[in-house]
Amino acid sequence: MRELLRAVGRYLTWGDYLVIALVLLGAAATIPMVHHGTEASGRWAIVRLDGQIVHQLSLAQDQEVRVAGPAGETVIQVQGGRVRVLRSPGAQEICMRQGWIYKPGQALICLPNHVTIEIPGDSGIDAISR
Amino acid sequence: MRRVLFALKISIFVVLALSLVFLYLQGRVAVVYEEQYLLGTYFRIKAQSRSREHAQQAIREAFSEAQRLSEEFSRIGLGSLGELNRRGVSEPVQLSRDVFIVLEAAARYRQLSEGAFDHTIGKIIDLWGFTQEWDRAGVGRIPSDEELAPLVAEQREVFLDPTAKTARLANPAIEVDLGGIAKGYIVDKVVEILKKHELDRALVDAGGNIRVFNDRPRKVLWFEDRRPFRIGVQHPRDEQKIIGVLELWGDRALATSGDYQRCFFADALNNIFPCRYADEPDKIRYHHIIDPKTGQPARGLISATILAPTAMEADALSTAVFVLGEQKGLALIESLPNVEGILVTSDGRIIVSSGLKTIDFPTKLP
Repeated sequence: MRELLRAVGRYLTWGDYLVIALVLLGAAATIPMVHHGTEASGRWAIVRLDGQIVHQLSLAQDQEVRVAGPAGETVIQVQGGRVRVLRSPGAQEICMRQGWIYKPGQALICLPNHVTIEIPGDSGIDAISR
Repeated sequence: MRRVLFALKISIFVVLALSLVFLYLQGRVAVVYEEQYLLGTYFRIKAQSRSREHAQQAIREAFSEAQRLSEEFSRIGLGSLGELNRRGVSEPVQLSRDVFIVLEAAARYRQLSEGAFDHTIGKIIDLWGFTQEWDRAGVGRIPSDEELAPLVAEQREVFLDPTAKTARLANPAIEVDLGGIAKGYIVDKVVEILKKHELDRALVDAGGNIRVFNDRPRKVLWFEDRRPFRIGVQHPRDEQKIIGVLELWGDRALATSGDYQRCFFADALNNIFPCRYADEPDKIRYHHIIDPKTGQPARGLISATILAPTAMEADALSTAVFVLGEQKGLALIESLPNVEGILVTSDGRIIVSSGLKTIDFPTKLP
């Protein structure tokens, strides 16, 4: 093995090393492109109003934000890496009763106020038929 | 020795260069995800294409068509359907092309399901409080027999004239509500636009009314990356759960009708409580899928999921099968080509149609 390595070392010129270095550099440069197609995932919650992104909340930071929608104010709380809806207009209070979400792919939907909160990422499921 | 080493060197370079090309090609795929509030629900499009701009352009066009159609199909709006409901009893009303197509289809599904699917019961649905403004108001009421009986007993007929593209209502008991079919039609129209733009694959989801297509699998050199869309089927009694996952290949649609989507509870004194997935002890659930023959919410099934070639078919059939119940519903599914179904009964059994027997689904609600 050592024999072989020494033989290879003798045979390669500085130009070969240059080409190898360039190819490796080029390969490294494409790594971000591989992930380009997939959505940004991580410890974030994306808040949308009428489909438009109005907040990107870091789950690492405890906070409370208010979103003014067509039916009133939706209050969103981030605590200990989780998100929930504290208050939102609507008789059924569906998005409040859903409680905390924290896994990628989970979402809270406050229909009456047109607000959605989503933790982006791949849950392995593309959609839910309900 | 020299020659062997030279060959080794060249082959290493070739492998490195190929993997570069491979990585580059794999990176050239853009997934674009957008949603809009339409038809009283969230309308999502997830599309994959070679370029981000291309996908965004297609989605923009698709959303503007969906927007236009959602106004057409409002039963109280300014479109031709609203017109028909306002003055259709006194004279034939000219309909737009889209409304006429869906009205014809609705009549076909009404006949096919022997009246279980019925687009003429808008007034009965209104009596229960399940109106278009349901999401904001959110509390229904139990209508009295005196209110319901005359509407249920009436012969509700919509006369269509295919040459003039007009419609007339037989009597004032009718209000045409295309809520159980129009959403599916719009999803199909949106898919048509996305296909025209030659997107590779896309998923369109209008509040659980889903259609996917997987026309061109992502290709990296000679390697075809074939992946199905994975769609969860909602657990009817637990919002956080699904009862199973369906893998969809090619071009396929599915829709679910459930008694948990729009509902309310009433106790023995007829006090009303808000809708939720889980059952309430000592309270009766009333929901929006009305059996046209009784005017009451259909009982027997708590959820019906239909797989079909188009979203409109899935949409209409999921309502029809929910109303028909376990036996007749399953018989209808089996009588139609390329249609499959997953039914959940009120005692918690899960029944799948013959074409889905190979799929791993539980037989009881977990």
